[in-house]
Parts: sequence; structure tokens; C-alpha cells
Amino acid sequence: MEAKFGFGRTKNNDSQLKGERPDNEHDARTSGQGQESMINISDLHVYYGRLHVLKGINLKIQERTTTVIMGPSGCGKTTLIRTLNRMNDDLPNFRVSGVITIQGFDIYSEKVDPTLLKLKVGMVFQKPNPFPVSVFDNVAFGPKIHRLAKSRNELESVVQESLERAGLWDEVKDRLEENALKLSGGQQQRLCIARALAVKPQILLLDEPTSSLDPSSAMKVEELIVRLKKDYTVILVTHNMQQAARVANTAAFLYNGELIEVGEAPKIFENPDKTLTEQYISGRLA
Amino acid sequence: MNPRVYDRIYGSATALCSATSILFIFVIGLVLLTYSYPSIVVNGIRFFTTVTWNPDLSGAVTTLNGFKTMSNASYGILVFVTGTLITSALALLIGVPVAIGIAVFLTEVAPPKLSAVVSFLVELLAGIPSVVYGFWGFLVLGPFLLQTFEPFLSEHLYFIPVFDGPVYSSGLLASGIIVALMIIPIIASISRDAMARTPKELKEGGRALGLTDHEVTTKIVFPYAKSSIFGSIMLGLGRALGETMAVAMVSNSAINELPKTAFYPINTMAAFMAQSLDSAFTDPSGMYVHSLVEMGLVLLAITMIVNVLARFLVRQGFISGAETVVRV
Amino acid sequence: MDTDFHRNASKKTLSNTIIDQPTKTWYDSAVTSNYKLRRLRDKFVKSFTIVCVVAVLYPLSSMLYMFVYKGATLISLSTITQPTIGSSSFVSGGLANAIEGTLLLLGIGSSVAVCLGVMGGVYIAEFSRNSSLAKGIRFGVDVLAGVPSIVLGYVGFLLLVIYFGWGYSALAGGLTLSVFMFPYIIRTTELALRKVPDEVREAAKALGSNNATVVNRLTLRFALPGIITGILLAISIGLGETAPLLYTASFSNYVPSALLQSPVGYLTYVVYVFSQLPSAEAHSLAYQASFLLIAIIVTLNFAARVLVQRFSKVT
Repeated sequence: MEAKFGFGRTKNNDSQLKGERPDNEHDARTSGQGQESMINISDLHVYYGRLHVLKGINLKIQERTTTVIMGPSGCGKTTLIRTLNRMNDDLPNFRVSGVITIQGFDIYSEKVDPTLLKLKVGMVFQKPNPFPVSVFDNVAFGPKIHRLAKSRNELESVVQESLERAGLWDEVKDRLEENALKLSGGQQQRLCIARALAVKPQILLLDEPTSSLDPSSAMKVEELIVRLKKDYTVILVTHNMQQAARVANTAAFLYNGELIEVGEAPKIFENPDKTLTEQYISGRLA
Repeated sequence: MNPRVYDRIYGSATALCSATSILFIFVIGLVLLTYSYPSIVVNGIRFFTTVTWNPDLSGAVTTLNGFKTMSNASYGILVFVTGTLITSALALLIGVPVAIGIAVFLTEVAPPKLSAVVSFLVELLAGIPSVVYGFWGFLVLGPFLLQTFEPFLSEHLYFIPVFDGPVYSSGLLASGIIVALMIIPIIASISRDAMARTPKELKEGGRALGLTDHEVTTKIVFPYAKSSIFGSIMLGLGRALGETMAVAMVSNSAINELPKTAFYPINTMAAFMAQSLDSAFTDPSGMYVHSLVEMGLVLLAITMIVNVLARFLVRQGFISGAETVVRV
Repeated sequence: MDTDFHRNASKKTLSNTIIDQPTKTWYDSAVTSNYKLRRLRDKFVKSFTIVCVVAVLYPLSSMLYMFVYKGATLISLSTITQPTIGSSSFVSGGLANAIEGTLLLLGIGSSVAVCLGVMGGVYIAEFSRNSSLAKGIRFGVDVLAGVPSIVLGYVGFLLLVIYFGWGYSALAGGLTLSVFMFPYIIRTTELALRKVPDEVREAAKALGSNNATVVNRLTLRFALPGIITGILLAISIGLGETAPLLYTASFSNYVPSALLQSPVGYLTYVVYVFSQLPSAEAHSLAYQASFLLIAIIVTLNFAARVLVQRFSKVT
């Protein structure tokens, strides 16, 4: 199903969507650090009070790629993705310096209201967190709040479309009024993804989405992520390196708040430049 | 001593102690029924339908249905029941929004340190004795209502029927406001605790969808905490119904007339019972006392229903700790 | 905030389709139709909560000013040493009788309530937690907690003062007060004991002790802070009560000579009655009594809090 956007597309993006790309352009795009990018993080520092959590991150993320952010526990992965939808703003003593732009627009500028930003940058959490209401109401939650659907019919079609994209429609189409908590863990997580998709974001942040799921559910979610790649810019945090290798175009390795290495996924996994990266990949780091 | 025997004795002793709760209720019910029986027989249904409360203390003693009473005595509690209901309703009307507003302030709006200070102050409010509230009401609130606020309402909001009339007294409004102040800490602290227990993940999920602060509160936190919040409101209602001293001191003791506007004096069952038992002793027939006891029985019945319902809801909300132990 | 966006003029082809869409910034397309309304609502709700807090803190500060500040200025040594002299509008003197009376009534009330309450709490928490008897007892406690204080006062009057013939007395007042305090203590005791994790009990049993000893030694010790907190809170509630005492203890300018047949003075009565008398002396005494009441209650609450914090680390 072709993605429906219709916002903010310039001619440039159009040409990137269809047709074939010469190989070097493809490489440049997925290695991420050359072309005009969707997300541009430049010299990002994050502090919680005195704690210096992210130190000088420079990262470019291209549209409609999947970037995986890896690193040992506590290295700042979650903080990093949360800077992209400004979820960190709620935390006490949060300070940020540097510039993060999405399609050239500084998301920390004065003009930005974080609640609107979240319409463009969606998030799915590690533990599935569906609201204790029906399946339908969960997915319809976002569109209802923001009045994205102008009629009940429109709302129903948005819900159906989101559930279809999340690969959950067939399983729940007869159970839309059931409480979401009755679904299995894997289904709940796909529901959360559908819920995030319902407000039509362009970027999806996935914070270890499969780590609390059993292997077969995790597999389904992974397949879903691969399908989502076509239409959304996906940024994935994961501990699971096999998953990262399967799913990612670009890989970034974070250690102790610093971006050690970033590049095309195959390269990072098979032949990284930095020793630290290599140690992490081979499991010798925590 | 043989440990088994010690166990038995200890077990029985503690069981007996706990069983006193049932014993006390039994005794209370028995005493009230016994001493109100004459009134129940003599006053019958008129007790609930008559507005006039006239013990006819200067009249002659007669006998009616086997019990002594004054010849022209007529006991009707309608004024007092109305007063009780109006005061409680007004207290809820004012108190519930304010208490929930405070709870939202404490959990969502204020930074943790400010929240702790305000929490402490609100709980201070809960500890102030009823008579001190009454004293304050008598010195500050009553005069303010009588001289400033009620004339203002009467002047400018006369088109609202309940404010349409001369200012006779501050009784009704003062009682309602003071009782509201007394139940606010109960509702606010239970609601605050329930709201604070909302799982972070649910709120984060809401945030990530672009909900503003108040939307997270109304659409995620409130639904989660709603049974505890509702239970706290019922607890507050139970407290309001039984409130005695403060109301006695500010209500200006209406008698024999139902309030027609907000500017009337009122009287509640509890306050009247506290104020008039002394005078009741002067009734040679004793019917005055019996009628007062029957009034107490009615008050107890109303309060009991509300309280049992309330505590059932509060327990359903899985509240633990000293928060459940609130003044009623 | 959202007024600044760049917009290229749209160019239209002959067929009137827009080939070059107006390029707003990426963010501007996120601005939804109800966005401004929601922001307004958010501000409104937050302001409302602040208004609520101020609305409640005003009477509190007014009360604290009047009774703590002014009351403190009126208090002197004679308050504590002198009894009240005279009656109705001619009262003067101090509050010694009322203070002693309050202590006496609370003493009796607390002793009975603590014994029954703690033991009772132990029973329903340790011995018979889920039996129907325990459920019945809990229900009874709930009902008892809901009895209006004046109704309790009436029952105390009818049963103890009249029927038992004790007259207005410390015993009648104290016992009525104890019935009022009992539900709080039994509840907080049960809660405190239930908070003690079962592992503690298991451990004691594994060491070979039987039921009663387990409870006595170990669990009570763990639960003690919670229990004492509950007792302190119940006392502070009992301190502020008037209605149960009005017709059981009545009032007296003298310290009672016996536990029966001898009325007792107490501080809340002073506030209730003297505040409504027309003399400055009476008012002064009412202020002083208010001050004492608030001071003691705040101290008790504070102590309860400190206990909770200090000892919550134990469990």
C-alpha cells in the first residue's frame, strides 16, 4: 500500500522515491553521512543536571531508511532517540545543546510545540503499553485527540488502515471492541505500532520493541519493521544484534554517550573501523 | 506456660477485642432504637413530613399511644433533613472540583518540592478541629458572607432564583463552605495518591501521541484513578453528613422554616442534636429527648449507607496505608 | 509561535494542478485544526488548579494567623496554671481544668481504644485474615467509623450517663471517646501488620516458633512504627472531638474528683462555648484553647510523619 503523505514534499523527495537509483547514490544514502538528510543531528549534548549523558553526537539519517542504534546498557541510546521527539523535555533538569533538524527544521526552536512534533515523530516503547480501552479506541486515540478524522467513517478507515499496516487487522477485525489488554504480548505491541501509525508520522522511533516479547512474536514485529521501512524513516534501538543486522540499513554504535562509529549496516557488522565497535559486535563488551 | 495454651488464650483475647466492633454497633443500634421507640410510635410518618418542630414545652402532659408527650407537640424533621442535605450538597459542589483541582496540581502541575509543601499544608487543614473551623467561620466567614458577599450576590445575580431575595443570614452558605473546606483534604489526598499510582508507561504512551498535560490527566490518569476518586467523594459525603460542631457554630440555627433562597439560616440534624439536648431535658414528658434520638437514628441510617458504599469503592481501588484512615 | 513559515507561491499549470506544492516547513504541516484550542484548555486547566490551591490556602493561613499567632500572644503561664473561674459571660482565669480534663479523657479513651484496637488488629491481620469472621469484623469497623460523632455522644449519654447511672463523668466521656478512636486504631494496626512481608513470618516459623510467638516478637516489631503512627493520628483526631463529649463529660471548672459522677472540662468545649459568649475574656480563652489544640495536633502529626520516615527504612 502506497504511503499517503501529501505534506511538505518538495520536488527533491519525489525524485528519490521512485525509479532506480545508481548504486553509489544508494550507498551514500544508506551510509547516511553524505546527502541531504531527513534528520540531521549536529553536535548534540544532553545533560540531566550535572550528568553529561550524550557527548557531541553527529548523525545524519536519511529518509525511509532504517537506522539501528546499538550500544551497551546506559550508553544513552534511549536518550538519543527521545531527543528526536522531545520526550526528554518532561524529565527534570534536562538540558540540551546542539542542533537537531528534521527536513531542515530545527525541532528545538522556539516555534515548535512538542505536542505537534509528536505527530510527525512517533514512538513505540519497549514494554507494550496499550491503554485499558478497546482495540479500536486505542488506535483511534491519536486521531481523535488531534481531530485528524472528520467523520466516524473516516476514523474507522484510519483505524483499519493503521491496523493493516501493522499487520494486525486480520487478527483483530472481529474483536475491535474488545479490551486491548486481552491481546497477547506480541499483538499488544503491534497494536501500539498501529496506534503510533494512526497519526501518520513520518519518522518512527522504536525503543527495543521486541525485547519483552517471545521469539515468535518478536519475529512478527521484526517482519513488520521491514515492511514499514518502505514508507517511514525508522530508528530502532536494540540489544539484539542479529535483529539489527537483519533489519537495518544504517548502524550506529553508541558507547558511554559518544557516537563511536556509524555507517552502512553490513560494513559495521562485518568489518567495523573502530576497535570498540568490533568488541561490542563480538560480544566482548557488556 | 504451654505454648499451645498461650496461643489459644492469645488468639481468643485478640478475637474478642476485634469482635467488639460488632458489639459496639449492636449496642449503638439497640440504644438508639430503644430510646427512640416512643417517638417512632407517637410521631409516626409525620416525623418525616412536617416542617414544624415544636416541643410545646409550656403545654400540658398528655398520653398518646401509651407514651407521654406534650399536648400540642409536633415533631417534624423536614427542616433539619433539608439543612443536612443542602449543606452536604453545597459542600460537594464546592469541595469536589477544588479538591480534584488540588490533586491535579499536586501530581501534574507542581514540581516535587512544591507538591510536598502544599500536600503538607492541605493535610494540616485536615487536622484542624471542627470547633476551630466553627470559630473561624463565626469570626471571619460569617461576617464576610453577611456583609460583603451575599449582598453582592443579591445585588448582581438576582436573576438566579436562589440568589433572589433579601439577605437574611449567612447560615446556608457559611455551612456549605465550611464543610467543603473540611472534606477537601480527604478527597484531595486520596485522589492524589490514586493519580500518582498511574503507571508511567500509560502516561508516556499518551505523551508520545502528542497529548498535552491536561489531556494526559483527563484522558489517561482520571480514567485510571476514577474508582478511588469516586470513593473519596463518597467518603467526603459521609463526613459532610455527620459534621456537627462547625455547622452548629455558623448555621444560625433555623427553625420551622425551609430556606427559600441561599440567604437563609439553616439547621442540620447533627448540629441541632448537639445544640438542643440541653433544652430537651426541660420537657416533662421526655418526648423531646425521644424525638431527638429518633433524629439521630435517621442521621445514622443515611450516613451508614453512604459510608459503607464509599469504603467498598475505596477498597476496590486498592488503597493501602494510612490514607484510608480518614476522619468521617 | 506558528505564524512564521516560509511559503513559496504555488505555480499552477494550464490544467490547474499544482505541480510545485507550497513548501511550508516540515513542521507547519503538523499544525492541526484544534491545536490552539487545546493549548488554551491546557493553560486554563493549569490556572484552575492553581486557583484551587490558593482558594484553600487562604482560609488555612487565616486560621493559622488567628489562632496560632493571636492565640500565642494571649497565652501566658496562667493559662496552664489557673483554672477557669465563673461561668457564661463571666468566665475568666486560665485553662488548667480544661487541659487536665482533656488529658484525662484522652488518656482513658486512648488506653481502651489502643488495647482493643491493637489486639483486634492483630487478630484480623494475623490469626484469621480471610475468614468470614474477619470480614464481618472489618465491615463492622467500617460501619463504626461512619457513625456520626454526635450520635455516638447520644449513645454514650443514654447508656452510660443515664442507664448505667454514671452521670457526667470522665469515664463516660473517656469510653465514648474510645469507641470513636477504636476504628482508626484497628484499621491502621491491621494495615501496618499486613505490610510486613510474609517472608518474615515464614522465617520465624522455620525457626520452629508457633503462631503467637511469631506475631509477638517479629511482626509486631516490624509493624510498630505504623501502629504507633496510627495511634498518634487517632489521638490527634480524638483531641479535636467535641460531640462525643458534650453530653457525657459535660463541662466543669474543676478537675474531677472521681471517675464517676463528676463532670470534666475539656479544651474543645472551651472553643465551642466561649467563642460564642459576648465577653472579651471568654474570647481570649477560646483563642488560647484553639492555639493549644492546634499546637498539639500539629506536633502529633509531625511526630507521626517523622516516625514513618525514620522507620520505613526498616521494612
